[in-house]
Amino acid sequence: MRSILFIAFKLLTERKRQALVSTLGVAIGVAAFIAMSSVMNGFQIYFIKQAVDINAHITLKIEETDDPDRILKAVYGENIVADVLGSKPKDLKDKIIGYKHYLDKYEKDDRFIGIAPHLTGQAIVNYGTKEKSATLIGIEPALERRASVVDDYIEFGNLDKIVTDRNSIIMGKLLARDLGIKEPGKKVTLVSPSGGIYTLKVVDFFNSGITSLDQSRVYINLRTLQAILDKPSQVNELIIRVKDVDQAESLAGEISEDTGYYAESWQRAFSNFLQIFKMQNWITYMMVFAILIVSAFGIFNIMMMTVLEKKRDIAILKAIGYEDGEITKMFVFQGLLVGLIGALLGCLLGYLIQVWLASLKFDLVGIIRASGFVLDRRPRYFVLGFIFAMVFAFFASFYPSWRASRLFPVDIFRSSV
Amino acid sequence: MSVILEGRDIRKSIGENDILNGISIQISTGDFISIVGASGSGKSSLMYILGLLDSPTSGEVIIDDKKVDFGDTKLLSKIRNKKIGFVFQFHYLITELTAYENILIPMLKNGVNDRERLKLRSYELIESLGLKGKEGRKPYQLSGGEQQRVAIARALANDPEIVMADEPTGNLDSKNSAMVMDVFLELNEKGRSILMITHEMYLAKETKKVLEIKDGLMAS
Ligand SMILES: Nc1ncnc2c1ncn2[C@@H]1O[C@H](COP(=O)(O)OP(=O)(O)OP(=O)(O)O)[C@@H](O)[C@H]1O
Ligand SMILES: [Mg+2]
Repeated sequence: MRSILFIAFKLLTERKRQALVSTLGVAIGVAAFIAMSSVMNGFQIYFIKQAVDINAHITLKIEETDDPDRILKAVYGENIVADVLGSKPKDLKDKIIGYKHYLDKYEKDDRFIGIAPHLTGQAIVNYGTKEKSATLIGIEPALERRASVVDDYIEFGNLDKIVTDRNSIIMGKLLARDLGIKEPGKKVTLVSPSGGIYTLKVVDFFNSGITSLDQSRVYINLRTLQAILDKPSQVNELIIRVKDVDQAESLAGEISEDTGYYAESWQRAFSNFLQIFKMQNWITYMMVFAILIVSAFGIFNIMMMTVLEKKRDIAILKAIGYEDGEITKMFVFQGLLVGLIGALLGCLLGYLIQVWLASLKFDLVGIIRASGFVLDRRPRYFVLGFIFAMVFAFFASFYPSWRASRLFPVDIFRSSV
Repeated sequence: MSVILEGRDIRKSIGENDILNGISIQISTGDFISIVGASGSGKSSLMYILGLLDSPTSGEVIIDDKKVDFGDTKLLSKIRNKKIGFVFQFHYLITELTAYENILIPMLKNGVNDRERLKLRSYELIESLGLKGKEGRKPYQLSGGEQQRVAIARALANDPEIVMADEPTGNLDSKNSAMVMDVFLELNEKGRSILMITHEMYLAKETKKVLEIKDGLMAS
C-alpha cells in the first residue's frame, strides 16, 4: 500500500499545474457551498426564530372558515333556511368561550411553557395629520411574557407600563415611523370600528425586525381593548408556547380536538415561507451541485489525461507485478488527494468569505430587517462540503482509474519504441 | 542444471493470424539464450507468453515444475514480480521518479519495507551498473545508455531467476550496446538465466545458445 501511495503522490505532484487547476476547482465549489449555505440558512433560521418567537408556537383562534351554509346557499339561493349539523352557534365564532378554563388546564401541562389570552381588532391610528390602520392586540403582560418573547423586542423595556397606565400603547417601530413618531410619550388618537375615538399614549416601541409586524402591530392592555371594542371579558385568541418547537404541529392538533377551536402551529402559519425557503434551498443546492459537478469534471479530465499520458508507466507497473486493483487505487488516490486538498482549501476559503460577509454592514429591508448578513456559521456546512468534495472526487476519478487498470501491457509494449 | 521455466507447444493466434505455431523451449539455471529471427516472426510474442504478460492460445508454461494457470492474474503478477525481470527496447522508466526511486518500485511491490534493505540493494545495483552519482537524477537527465542501465537495475531489483530482454540494445549505439551486453554476460556468469531477443548476430554469438524463430516455429 505504501508503494501505491508513494507512486500516486509522485505522479500527481510532478504535474503541478493541472493538479493545481483541478484542486482550485474543488476549492471554489466547496467555498461556494459553505458561503451560500451559511447566508441562506442564516437568513432562514433568523427569520423562523424571530417569526416563531414573536407569533407564538401555537395560536388558538376563531376559525376563519366561511359560512357553513355557503354551499346550500350557493345552490338554493340566499334565502334558504337551513341548519347545518355540527356548525357552531354564532357567539362561538367571535370569541373563545371558557378560555379561563383552558388557561388553567394548559398551564398545568408541562409540555407547554406558557399560555396567554389575546383580543385582536383593527383600528385607525391618527397622529397629527397622518393616519394608518393598525392591528390592535390586547394582552396581559404577565401572561404574555411567558407565552412569547415579546419582551425582547420592546425597545425600552416598558411592557409593564400598559398595566400601570391603562391608556398607553406600545407601537410597532415602522408604524410609528410612518406616523412620524420618533420618541415615546406622544399621544395618538385611535378610531375603533364602531366609530369611538380614544386618546392613547405611546410609551414604547415594538421592533422585531419582521417588517410586516413592525408596520402594523399595536400592543394594548387587554381590558382597555375590551372596552374600546365593546367586548367585555372576551378574548378571541390564545397563544401558547411549547417546550419543543418541533412538536408544535402535533400539539396543535391535540388542542384543536380538545377545544373545538382552530389551533394553528407556527409551521402552518408560516407554511408559505417554509415553502419558499424549501424552494430557495433547492435552487441554491442545485447551483452548488452544478459547481461541484464542474469541478468533478476537472478531476475527471486530469485523471483521464494522466491515464492516457501514463500508459507506458501503467504497462511497466503491471509487468513488474502490480495488480489491477492496485493500479486503480493508485489513480483513485490521486483524485482523492486533489479532492482532499481542494476541500481543505475550500473550507478555509469558505471561512474567509464568512468572515468577510459578517464584517459587511448595510441596512437590509425586506421581509426582515437586519444590519448585515445574518450568517449560520455552524460547522456542519464545512463537514458537508468536505464530504461532498470527497465523494465527487472519488466518483470522478474512479472511471479513469478503472480504465487505467484495464490496460493490457502487451499492447503498450508492442506499440511504443 | 535444473529447468526453471519451460514452454510446451506454445501456439498463439490473434484473429485469423497464427503468430506462434507450436514452440517448445526450456530455460535452465545459468542459461543465456538469445532468440533471433526476422521481424514479425513472433519473437516478442513468445517472450510475452513466457514472461506471463500474455496468455497462449494453446500450450503450457511450466515454472518450478508447476503448470501456470493463466486465469489466475494475481498469481501471474506475483510470479512476474519475484521471478522475472523485464528489459525492453524502450526503458519505461517513470519520468516523475528518480533513478533510485525507479529501482525501488519492484521491491516495494514485493513487500520490502525495511529502509536499510531497500537502500542496500538499490545501491548495490547502482554501483554494479556504473550509475553511481546519478541515482538522484530523473530519467530525462540521463543518457540513453544510462537509462537502459537503470531499467536493467530495476529488472534485477528482486533478484529474479530469469531476466527477459526484448532487444535491449535496440535503441543504443554500439558503445552502449557493448556495455549492456557486458552487464548481461557478467550477470550470467554469476548464475542468472537470461533470455534475450536481438537482431544483432554479433551479440547473439556471445550467448550460450542461439535459437531462431521462423514463421512462428523454431528453426533448427
Ligand atoms: N494485436 C495483433 N493483432 C494481429 N497481429 C498481431 C498483433 N500483434 C502482433 N501481431 C503480429 O504477430 C506477428 C509477430 O509479432 P512479434 O512482435 O512477436 O514479432 P517480432 O518477431 O518481435 O518482430 P520484431 O523483430 O519486429 O520485433 C507479426 O506478424 C505481427 O504483425
Ligand atoms: Mg519484437
